[in-house]
Amino acid sequence: MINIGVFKFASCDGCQLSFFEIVEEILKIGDINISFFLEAQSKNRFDEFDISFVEGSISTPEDIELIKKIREKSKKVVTIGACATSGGIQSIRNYLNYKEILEYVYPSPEYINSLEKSHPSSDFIEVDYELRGCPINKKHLLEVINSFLLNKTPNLPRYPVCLECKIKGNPCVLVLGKPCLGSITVAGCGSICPSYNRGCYGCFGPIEKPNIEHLQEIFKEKGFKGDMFEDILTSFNAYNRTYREQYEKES
Amino acid sequence: MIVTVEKSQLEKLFNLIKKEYEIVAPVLREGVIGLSAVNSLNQLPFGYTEVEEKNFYRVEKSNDKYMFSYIRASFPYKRFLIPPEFTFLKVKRENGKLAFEELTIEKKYAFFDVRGCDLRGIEVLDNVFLKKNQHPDSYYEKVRKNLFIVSVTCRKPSDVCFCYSMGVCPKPKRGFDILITELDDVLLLETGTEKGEKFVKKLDYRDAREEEIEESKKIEKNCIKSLKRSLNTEGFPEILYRNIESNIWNEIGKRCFACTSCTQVCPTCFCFDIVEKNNVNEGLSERVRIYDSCFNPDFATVHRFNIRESIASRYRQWYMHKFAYWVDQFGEFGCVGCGRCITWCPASIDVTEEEKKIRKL
Amino acid sequence: MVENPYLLKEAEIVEKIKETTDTYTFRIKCSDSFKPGQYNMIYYFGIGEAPISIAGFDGEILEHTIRAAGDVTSHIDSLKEGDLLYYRGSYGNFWDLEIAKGKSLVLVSGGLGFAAIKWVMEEAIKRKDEFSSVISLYGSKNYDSLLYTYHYEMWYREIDFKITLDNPDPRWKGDVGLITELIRKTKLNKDSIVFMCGPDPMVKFSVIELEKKGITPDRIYVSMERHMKCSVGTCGHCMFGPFFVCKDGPIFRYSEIREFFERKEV
Repeated sequence: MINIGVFKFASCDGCQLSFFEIVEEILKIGDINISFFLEAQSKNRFDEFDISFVEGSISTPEDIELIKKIREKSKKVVTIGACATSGGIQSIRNYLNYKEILEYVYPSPEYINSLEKSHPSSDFIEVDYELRGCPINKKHLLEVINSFLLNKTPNLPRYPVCLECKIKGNPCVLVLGKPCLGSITVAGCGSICPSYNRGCYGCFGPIEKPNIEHLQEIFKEKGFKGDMFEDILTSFNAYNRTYREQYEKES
Repeated sequence: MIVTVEKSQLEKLFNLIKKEYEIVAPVLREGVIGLSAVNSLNQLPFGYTEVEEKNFYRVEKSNDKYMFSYIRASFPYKRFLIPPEFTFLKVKRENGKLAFEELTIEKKYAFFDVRGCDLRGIEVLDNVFLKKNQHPDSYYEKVRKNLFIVSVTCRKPSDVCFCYSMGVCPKPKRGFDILITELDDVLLLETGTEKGEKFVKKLDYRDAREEEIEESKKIEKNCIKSLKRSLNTEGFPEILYRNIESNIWNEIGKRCFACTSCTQVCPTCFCFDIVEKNNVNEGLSERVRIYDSCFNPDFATVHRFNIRESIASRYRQWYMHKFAYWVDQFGEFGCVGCGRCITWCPASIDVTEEEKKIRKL
Repeated sequence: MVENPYLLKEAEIVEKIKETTDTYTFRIKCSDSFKPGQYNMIYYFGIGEAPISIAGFDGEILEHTIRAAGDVTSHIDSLKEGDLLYYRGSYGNFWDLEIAKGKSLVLVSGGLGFAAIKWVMEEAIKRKDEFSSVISLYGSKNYDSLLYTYHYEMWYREIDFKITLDNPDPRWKGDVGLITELIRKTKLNKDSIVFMCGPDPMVKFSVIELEKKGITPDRIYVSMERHMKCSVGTCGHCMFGPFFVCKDGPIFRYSEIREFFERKEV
């Protein structure tokens, strides 16, 4: 019997919904007990977990305490989605003036007690596996659970979207004239957007060595307008380690 | 046999082949010529042509009267010989013992319209998987054995083609069952095998005239003359070996995304990964072959350490494999000059331009 | 019809010997044919395959020494006596003792690389009259990571068998230092034939030491490790310069691979 916990921090709940999509498969496996999952059940117990799935970014002092507690009580901690893995769309604020935003958004900002930045879990604890995406691919959830049962490393891609896109037989939408981040974005989504003739907007976040500079040049050459490149780069995964380092290097 | 038929006979030929094979042919879909199983000759992109350049692709109406006005599909036939992803072994565990179920690919394909470059590409894969391998690949062999090939002579090249540099002729000399050359008024059919002859004999044909054969040769000559790109292979492997440490690889590495596109659109790139797909509760595990690429950061790992960490080294591996290592491995180049890697590289890297730079080092 | 190269064979584990905390030698009942230096692909259900060099075969019992380094090897190491093991092979070329006939045979190994040398060493012991001498140099990181300790007495007796430990240990009275130092200290003939297996950096620096003794790279044979997935020369993962390590190797004459071996990221 494996004991699973599902936790949520600052996020939209979308990644947790993936659990509802794999209910049948989980039931078939049988040996699974979900003892903590506020979104799904009214009785919850916080004790010891084999795997804890964490959604959402860390954005308050209480969050920091809780994520540390989760780590303490869990054999494996797996972040699910762009918020928990890269800070999420709310981490756009990390590059702006926190005070100004606070005053702009809230009529009485003095009641708000949040961190200046929206953080991925890995800023505070050691994370075993990070599931990318906004939202995640439910196949990856199953892969993590199955791999735990089999005592093996889950098979999560590190290659770019282009490989799975080409495996599907899609022509390159960037060559066809659409802004696409596929070449610097990690695979796993099943190349959904290019399969529908749209450019990838990078919701799975960057590969390990994204060639941002040259892609930016290609965007320019192709005549894609103004700040489009930065806009998509600094959305869902704005505070991803790779982009963060790049940003810190530049500024 | 070399015969001539009216252009209207093409449909009859198509339908005769269709009776015995599943036909795969170029089709136009959402502005791109791809490959697909087809039922009717009308599905072929007659009357269209593609405009191709570095990092650019567009299909437009052709302004000539020919059926085979288009050039070639945007990706090669290899995915029908080795599927991009397939389970090759099913393993079931019962009482500590394993039972294996060997899965085979039961396909009887006819490739309808294989151009010279892709025909050569199949020949190269034959050497990798069967002819020059002491452990021939049974999966490839099964599909290949049943394969029927209709080749077509190119009337014109695209702007990225450089087939002639790689020893490939617009009018193939071997490897086909039937070769079609579209002349001004008729089709010239040449057969390469008895299988091919069997079909052609059922058509309304007559022996080809001397001037028709001449016309087909002229078409080829004109096609070769119109090639805009070239790659000088003379002594190129040695030049590459000499420049294995050159800074040019770092320079290309700054442009390359390691996106893997070139390897996937290449008719000869054959690398694949083997992964396990598990169904824990049923005690089932599938062994799956899936396309891989030397640009994948997990490709050359030994104990989780990636031997080719830099993108520059991965590009060098790919380029040197095509133009140097392949020659040592199989006695031929791993490039057929189809130019797809030039069109479909989103980073605008052109193998023929790089060749010229490497020669100047 | 071509035979399916991926079909697995079944064999029973008759003995499991603990070598170190994470390494076991499996003795497997098996009536196949193997040669020293070759390897098998060993499969574990649901996890995958790993290339494992053949550490011995006497016509009935096959030996594999396996360190739990990754997912596959960790699972194989959990197998017990009486369990079935699934493998395909044998693959690759072999240590050709004929080359060394009448000459001094020098075996150099480091770490788990010793598993790829052990069988040819045993063969060399059986045929030691055919060589002017047999010298085996083995480097191990620690005292606790020494392999095949139960054979040492016999090997010390039969050939010039020398061990060096990277790290000193109160229980160890022998040589301490890197394998390169042991090579330096050992008297070797210029016309020796060397068979070597170990991590890439060890090989590189050992060759330098051997060259100082006048042993040229064309007399040095090296067993290499690369990412082997299919082992039949088609998946491309193990490619190394113009070679497929899985089928052109794993053993290479150093003079033929040097230009690739000593370069980064080939």
